[in-house]
Amino acid sequence: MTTTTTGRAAPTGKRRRSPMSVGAWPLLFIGPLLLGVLVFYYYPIISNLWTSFTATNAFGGDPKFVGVDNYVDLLNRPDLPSALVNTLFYTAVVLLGVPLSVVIAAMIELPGLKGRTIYRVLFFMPYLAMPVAIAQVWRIFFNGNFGILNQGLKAIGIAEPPYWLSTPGFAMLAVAFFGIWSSIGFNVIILSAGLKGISPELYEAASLDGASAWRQFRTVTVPLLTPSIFFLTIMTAIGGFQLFDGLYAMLGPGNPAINQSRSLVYLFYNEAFVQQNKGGGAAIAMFIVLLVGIATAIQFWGQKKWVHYE
Amino acid sequence: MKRRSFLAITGLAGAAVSLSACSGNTTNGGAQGDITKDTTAELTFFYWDKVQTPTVEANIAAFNKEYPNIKVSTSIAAYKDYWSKLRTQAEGDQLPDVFWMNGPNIQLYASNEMLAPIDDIKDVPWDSYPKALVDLYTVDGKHYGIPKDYDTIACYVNKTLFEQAGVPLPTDGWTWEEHNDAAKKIAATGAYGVVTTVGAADGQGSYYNTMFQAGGYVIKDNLSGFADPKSIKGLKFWADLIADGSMPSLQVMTDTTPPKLFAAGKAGIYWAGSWMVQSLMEDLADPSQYTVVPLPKDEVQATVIHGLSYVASAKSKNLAAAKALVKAMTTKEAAETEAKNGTAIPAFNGTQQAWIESVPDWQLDVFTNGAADYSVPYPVSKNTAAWEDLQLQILPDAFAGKVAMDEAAKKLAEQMDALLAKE
Amino acid sequence: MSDRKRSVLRGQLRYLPVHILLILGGMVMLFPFVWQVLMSLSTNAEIQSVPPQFIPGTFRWENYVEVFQKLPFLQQFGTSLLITVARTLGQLVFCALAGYAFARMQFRGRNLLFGMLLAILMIPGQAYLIPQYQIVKSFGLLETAAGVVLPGLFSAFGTFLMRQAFMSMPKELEEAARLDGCNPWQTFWRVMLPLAKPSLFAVAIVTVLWSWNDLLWPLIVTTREENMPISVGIATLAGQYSSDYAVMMAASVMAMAPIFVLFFSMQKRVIEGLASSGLKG
Repeated sequence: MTTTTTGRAAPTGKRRRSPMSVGAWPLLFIGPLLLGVLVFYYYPIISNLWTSFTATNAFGGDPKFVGVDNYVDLLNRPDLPSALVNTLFYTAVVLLGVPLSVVIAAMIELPGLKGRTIYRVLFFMPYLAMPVAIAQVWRIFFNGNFGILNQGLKAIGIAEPPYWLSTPGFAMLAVAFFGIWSSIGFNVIILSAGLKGISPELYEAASLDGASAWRQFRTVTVPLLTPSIFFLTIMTAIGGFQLFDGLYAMLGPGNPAINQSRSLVYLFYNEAFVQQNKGGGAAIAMFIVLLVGIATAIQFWGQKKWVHYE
Repeated sequence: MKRRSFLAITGLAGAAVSLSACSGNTTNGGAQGDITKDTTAELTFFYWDKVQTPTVEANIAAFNKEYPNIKVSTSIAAYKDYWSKLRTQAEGDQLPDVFWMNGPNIQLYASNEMLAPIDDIKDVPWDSYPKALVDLYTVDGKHYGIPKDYDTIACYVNKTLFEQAGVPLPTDGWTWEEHNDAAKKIAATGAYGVVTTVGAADGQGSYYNTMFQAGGYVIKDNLSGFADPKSIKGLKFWADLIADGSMPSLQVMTDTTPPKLFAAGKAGIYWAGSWMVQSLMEDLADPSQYTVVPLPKDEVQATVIHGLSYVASAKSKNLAAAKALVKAMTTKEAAETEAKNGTAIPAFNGTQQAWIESVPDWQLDVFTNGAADYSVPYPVSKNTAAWEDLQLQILPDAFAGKVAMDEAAKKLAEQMDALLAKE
Repeated sequence: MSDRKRSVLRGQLRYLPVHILLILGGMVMLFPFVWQVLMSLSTNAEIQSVPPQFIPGTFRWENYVEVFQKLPFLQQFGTSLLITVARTLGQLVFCALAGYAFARMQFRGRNLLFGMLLAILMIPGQAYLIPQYQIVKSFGLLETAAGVVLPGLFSAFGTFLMRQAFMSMPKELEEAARLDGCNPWQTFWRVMLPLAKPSLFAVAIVTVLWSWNDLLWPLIVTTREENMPISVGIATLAGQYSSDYAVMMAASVMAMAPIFVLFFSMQKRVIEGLASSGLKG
């Protein structure tokens, strides 16, 4: 890893260097963060990468180099495809929360709307939640025997509503719902910050041109929010690939539906901490990094087409 | 102890160590004689049950009467966090000096040299504890833990529902047939006949017991017993109960846990461990309407016994003091303090009476008699969690009748054997 | 009704569908919390009852008293406060600086470095646990607030957010500052950072909440009750076979309340921060 490339004023010759990149300035700005990241994140990643090529005892001792065996084992796992599908499904559903949040944030920030403070607080509430406590409430809500949801469904004539938390498939939906519910508040706050950066004159100009509210939303709000939307899309996708806590909190251990609802991180956790296979777990972790890395790179590559800076 | 010979042969099959502390030549970290009442040391102690804090503190206070200069600082985590925390500490060479250990994890920690053998602790009355537990914490012929408490399984029954269904209350020695008949009749009245944690693949509270009762086994000589015809009979017991409506579907019991269904008066029989006594007492509207009876028998009577023990870290800087603490926490006096607390049945023989009398109506001696007369040790291996997870992956569908139990059991046995071979 | 009021009302009538949608959505957001508060005032038996009982028979305020008996609540609360303030301040400094550099400075390896930074978000948190534990241990910081705070000072997420914020700002401002003879630091400090206030608040709010509710890492670093933050303290209340949910809920409500108040006042500050930012179009 060469970190020396940062800001050493290397004469490039080709590009006219703007004064912003002269000398040590970039290093001064980035250095503190970089140092911390190297120590607390890169060392663990490297050690994880190394572990993925070894077989160790249950506590990580006696490492023996085994080459790519752990990766071969991973690709031969019969449960890998379903974990992949579950993770992608969850990510896709949670990503739907982003456009939803754009609409909500745009509504909340409508000029002249009363009660904005209350709405902001309401929609941000889920982000304040202690996940463990609040998942408990949602579990009662989704309860197949006595949950409010099913009582409501029965009231409107659905005789046998599903067991949301203990039926494979439905369980994933319930977990995804919980994921969206938890993330909307965060999205709205980021988008509100983005909306603050849009000057009111743009809207005034648009309404003078006779643009309808919807048209203003499409031609002014959304394009100017694209940096925030892009940020949220990336973050939500990364978060979606990391699905574990919500799954665990909503379905709990010992739920028969969890077999068909395992996510990639669940596999990792299970391999490293239940099967005591450190090397295998590390290989899954690296596989996840690779997968998310590719997905993120594609998004960065695609942003040129739709993200407008300033 | 009346113990059927085949029950003694389990995955533990540790060569029974002679009861006098026999390790003449191991003196790692100094024998016990090294500490006196003037010894100054600091020990850390880690446990997981907040409910038991008063017991722990009382027993540490008693220890400090003898060794006033050994400071014991306690730390705590919830059960589900305890093991991930312990593992991190183990990998970081930071294990607490003394901590609680359970059956599924003992071999994992002992065989990886995380725990100190404690054969050199003087005067441990090994025959004052249930043999099954002493064996459970014996690995490769060495003692690693002194038992703290134990639990066995029984049937909690709702007398009112039995009466309404016109079924006589079960007595000691009732059979599977009688059990199933009662469950069916109670189910016919609109309640649930029987509820268990079978859907959570909790063998300890359900199907391990029936596998043993049918004459089967879970693990022997490091080989899986799930494919044994008698074991399969014990597994089918549950699939049949669900199939004929005597037991609710797994989904009903997942969304509302069996103890909740039972406490709400919706189930006639609830298979569970002695650890549920306290919380049921708190949740039941009228405890006098309930009681405890032994598990039904098939070929034999059987109930799974499991218990915790106190262990010391192999890398403890004050090993002698740590061992003294392990001993102090498991003496007869400590067990009596434990009994008063009422959370668990103390392991020291002869101290259980206080626990039994904590609910006079319920004849709690069902649990202690079971332990003495027909208990089977909780089945473990070096990496118990690995094949317990397999059970969760494979068995629920078979209990629910989606796949044939024979196939599921054979598949489980195969995969379990593969894991055991890797150990 | 005065004319002004009437016109305000007319103005809001135009937004009636919006209000209806927002109120409905708000309900979905809010109801679990109302429920949580009700649970914190119930008996454990009421919470556990089948079918569940939503409205407690009598409000059981004792649950809140019991929290203080079961946990060193104030001490753990103080620990949480300390940890959260330290993490938030640290993150704001590091993320704003680095985010600005990634957004506005040209240097070799910029995109590679940024990609490497994002990569730390892609690895499951549990995979960091043991190596980070060993590092903190080697610094001798186990059981300390500093040990809990350290890894969380450096955030790829915050850096990314600040980068996006700086990227969406007009370049002309920097040009102007440069022509006035500002060096990069002065440009950043005097011109750009004030403009980024809304995003700084967003990072701060998010970090405060994340830090306040963070469980996995502090759970591993602190083992003694007196050193734990409140999120970990509440987690110790869970029993192996049964839990006193009523007291857990009461503890969660108390732990959440100050954050709620803080956010309520902070979100006003976001708007003020904007009003004073001099960006009036």
